[in-house]
Amino acid sequence: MTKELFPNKLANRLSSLSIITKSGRLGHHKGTHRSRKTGASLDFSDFREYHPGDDLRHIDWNVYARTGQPFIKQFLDEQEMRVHIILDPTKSMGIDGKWEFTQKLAIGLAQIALKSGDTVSISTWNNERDIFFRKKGAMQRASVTKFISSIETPSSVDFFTDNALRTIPKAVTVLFVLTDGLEEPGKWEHLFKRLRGVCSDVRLITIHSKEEELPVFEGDIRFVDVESEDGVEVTITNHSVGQYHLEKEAHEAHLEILARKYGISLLRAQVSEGVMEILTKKMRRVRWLD
Amino acid sequence: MGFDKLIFGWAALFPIAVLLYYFFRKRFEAHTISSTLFWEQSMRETMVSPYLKKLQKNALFYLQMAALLLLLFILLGPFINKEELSNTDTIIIVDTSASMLAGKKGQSIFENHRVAINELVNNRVGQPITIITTGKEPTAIIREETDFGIIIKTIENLDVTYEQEYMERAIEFAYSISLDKEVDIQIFTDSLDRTDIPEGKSSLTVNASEVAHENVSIDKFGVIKTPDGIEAITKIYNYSEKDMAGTMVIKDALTNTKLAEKEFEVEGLKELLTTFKDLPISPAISVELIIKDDYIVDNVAFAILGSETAGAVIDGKLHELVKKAFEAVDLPVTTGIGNDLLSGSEGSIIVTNDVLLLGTSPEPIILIGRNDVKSKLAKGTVTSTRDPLFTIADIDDVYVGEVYPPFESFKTIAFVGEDPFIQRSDRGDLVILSDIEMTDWPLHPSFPLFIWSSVELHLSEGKTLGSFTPNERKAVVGSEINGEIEVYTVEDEYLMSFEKPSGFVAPVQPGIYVARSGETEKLLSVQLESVEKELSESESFQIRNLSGEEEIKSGKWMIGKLFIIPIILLMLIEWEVQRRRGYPN
Repeated sequence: MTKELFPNKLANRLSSLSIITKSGRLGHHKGTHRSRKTGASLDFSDFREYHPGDDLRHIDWNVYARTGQPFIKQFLDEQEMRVHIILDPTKSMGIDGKWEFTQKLAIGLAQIALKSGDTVSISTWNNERDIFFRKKGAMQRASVTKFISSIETPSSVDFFTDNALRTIPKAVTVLFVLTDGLEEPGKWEHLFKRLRGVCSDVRLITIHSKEEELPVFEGDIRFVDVESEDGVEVTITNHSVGQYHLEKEAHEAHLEILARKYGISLLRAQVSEGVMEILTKKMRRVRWLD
Repeated sequence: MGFDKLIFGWAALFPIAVLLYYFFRKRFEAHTISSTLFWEQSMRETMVSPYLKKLQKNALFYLQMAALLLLLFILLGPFINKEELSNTDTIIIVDTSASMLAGKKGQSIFENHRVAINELVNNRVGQPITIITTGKEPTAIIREETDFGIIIKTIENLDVTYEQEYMERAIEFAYSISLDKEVDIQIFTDSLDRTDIPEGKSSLTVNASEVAHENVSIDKFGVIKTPDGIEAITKIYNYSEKDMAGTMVIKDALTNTKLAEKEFEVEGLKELLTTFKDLPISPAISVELIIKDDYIVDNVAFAILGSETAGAVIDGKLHELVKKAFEAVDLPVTTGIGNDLLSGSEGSIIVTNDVLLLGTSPEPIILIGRNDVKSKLAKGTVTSTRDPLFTIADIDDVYVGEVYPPFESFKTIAFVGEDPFIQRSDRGDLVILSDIEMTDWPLHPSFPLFIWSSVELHLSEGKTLGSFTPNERKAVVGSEINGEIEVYTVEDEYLMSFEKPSGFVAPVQPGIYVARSGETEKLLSVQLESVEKELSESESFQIRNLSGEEEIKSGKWMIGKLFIIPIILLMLIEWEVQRRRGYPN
């Protein structure tokens, strides 16, 4: 099943990609991402005057010999990134093939991050408990893939926006939020406000199914909300479908405005586009990956 | 079980509507989608009015509620008084007696009733309506008429006939024409007592006048000839409780000239006798009360000079049956012997067997038998000539045993075989040439009829036809009256005519009239009956003695009661369902 969901062949195609972030806040562990901080890497960064308390071992003695002044030789620091992927486990994610798509996307992102030696954590929940997983290093790629693949089809009926924050660990460099975004804008705003305190580089990926984009119904339909099980009786007419599109567009636009307001980047992903397309093209285009 | 109010069948629309609601309710195909966020909002757009939405949500409830309430309403058996017998025939009995003309402020009871009848008829358009007018002979002027135009026109043309109402007869008549059908009898009268209503099957509504009227009426009015002229006597009765005052005017009824005038005051519920003496001689005299009361018709009375018969004076020697016969025709009878017969008998008919009186009596007499000669055996049957006396009473089957010899100069009007049986003199004396004991005539009904005819004839020898009550049907007998009779008012206005004297019917309106037959001209007066001079009022009421129908009604009520409990239960259940579950949308 694992292979079917995300064959290695595909994983190999992602090997050239890495996550780009301008976030200053990296992990404490050594990683492969160059940090703006000076550190213990081999790459030279700069000289600066010695101040009492500096490590004597970093004095560049050659320069001291030439100038008689002690200078500290600084190197660039290489630090790890902490990538967190949160999956929307509400029931609405479970239909129209959205969940499989989400799993693939999560695997793809995790593969990219792990390959760079970063720490990847994945969180979601089901009705009974929270699900959390954290791994670091390229060696863990297989186990992450296996883990993600093993997450059951969502069954939670709680609001995603109410519960998301609880499962996000501290000190996250990059946060990927995989959701369908089908909650009231007011609730999203509430979440966005608080996400800022958790992570400075939040990336929201809204996943849309083909059926949502273009409803193909005829006659009198009683739409049942998969989560609340509320029914809405609609007589399908051009007008009512048009109205639906208007509502949907307005909702998405509203979400985008909110995201921009709170410095969150947003990417629309359609199930029909395919995971590779999203990872290799769309995300590169918006400079999320490189 | 049956339905008798099929008119409520339209209420079936309600259950049908509920049924249709179920049938044509939109069948929504259920689809599970990620979120109804956008759809819900689109629906919200279309449901602008919250009231409409509410109505839509609860339409079923409202419909069922309405249906149930209506059912309840029907079961309660709603009715409006007017419409209660909406499917039955209506018989309207209209009192046309003179007392219906009484009324306050010029609006008579009759006119008020006309309005009420119109209203009643308007409420029963299309139903068969019968209108009966009262009188000695109640008449159905329209029968089971459904043409609204005709009914209205008939009501417009209704008029008072002044005749006493004889309400019992009218009601009996209504019963008889309704046969066994259930009818609604509506009586419009001034007053009617419950006890005067004959028992019947139909429901009956009495619309009476509940207003008391003030009335002063001329109870009696008479004139006598005196040596100095005419003496008139009036008896006035005040039917109201308060004292009334007015003026009494005596007029010559033919020329309408005032002869005398007197002011008067009469106490409440008291009578007043007034005499007018030495009035100029006139064949007809009228008296009029000028007074403010509510009933004008009885404020006028008429009298014709010499029209009154004092009575009959019968010779004591005659058989008792003769006296009986005169009593039978409502004549005051006195008996006398010999010369007593003549004294104080002015205006009276003298009946005797004393031949001497034929010569001494100033007026014609009736002679039964002869006291001067002996009778002989009669042979053969009785035959009569075409004399007015026999127009009513046919005497052909009478047996006569013995007859007296006839008077030679007299005209014979009936024979026994060859012998004269009844003779008449030129003066008008009537001679029956047989003793009562000699014939079986008194046993025949023709005997009192003959006596009555004789009296009428005796009276008609004068200048009058006598006094009638309004619309009275009475044969007119008189030797000078033959063939057609025409009736004119004193102003010489033609009123009506009768082909035969026996079919004479008096005019309706009180007053003096002139009857003409050939060359003869006679006065007649039409007077109100004394019953019609007294006004009374009574409550309107309703009698519903429909014994059969009442049983049916109580049965229906029982069924209704049985239904009410399940209906209430049903409503409670519906309410509970609604409360607990509401409607899924």
